[in-house]
Amino acid sequence: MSFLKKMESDLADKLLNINGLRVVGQAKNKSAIVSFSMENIHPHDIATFLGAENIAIRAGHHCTQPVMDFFQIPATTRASFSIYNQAAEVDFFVEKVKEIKQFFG
Amino acid sequence: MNERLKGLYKTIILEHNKEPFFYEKNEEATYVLKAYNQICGDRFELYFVVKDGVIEDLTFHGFGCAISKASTSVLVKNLQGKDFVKALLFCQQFLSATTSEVESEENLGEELEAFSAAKEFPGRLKCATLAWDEIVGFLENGGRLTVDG
Repeated sequence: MSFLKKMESDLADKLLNINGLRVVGQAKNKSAIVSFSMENIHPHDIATFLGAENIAIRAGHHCTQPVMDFFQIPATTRASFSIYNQAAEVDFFVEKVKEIKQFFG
Repeated sequence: MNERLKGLYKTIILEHNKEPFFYEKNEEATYVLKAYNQICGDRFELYFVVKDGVIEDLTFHGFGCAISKASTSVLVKNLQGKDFVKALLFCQQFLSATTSEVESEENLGEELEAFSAAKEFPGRLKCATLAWDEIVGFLENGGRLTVDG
């Protein structure tokens, strides 16, 4: 398993342990990208808080409105791994998502 | 967690986001106005019941981030019972206080001034003003929907 794929898989697994979080798109051979949504917290709010922690992610409908309609969701938060990421950042990311969930109650 | 961001979202915005005022559709509405941000996908519908130039009832429904939902909640709460002239003035005061770099002399109250913090986050300013901008256009047009409606 490639380094990027391993991080993607670890992040998806750890995020799925958070109550109310849904990972969107779990195809076996997809790119090292994790899209997710959280109950009662808008993806842009998540993105703003993660951005303040220097985590650069994208949020919104990603110019894929028909797919969003298919999944019956208006938007997602999306983390994309690349060669400059480190394994420890997966845990940092998950920790920050948990803090956001706690903040929004 | 970032303190400046916590300041922006402060209790007022979180509360309105969680339990927004007048959050329901209204099939009896005189006008239904759409506030849609094509860039991010936030979308609200505003249901007006208007009689003799007075907003007798205003509700909203849709999907958006905490800031856009809370600001729309505050908007509909404050426009209940206002005539078009007063409603327009009120919206303009809010937009001016929220977007202008000059400190506003108007005292809009804590609930409305909570959104002024969005000035620090230019990427989120549109969230605070989305529904307000649409309503100003509607009121300036004399309460008539434009073709884009």
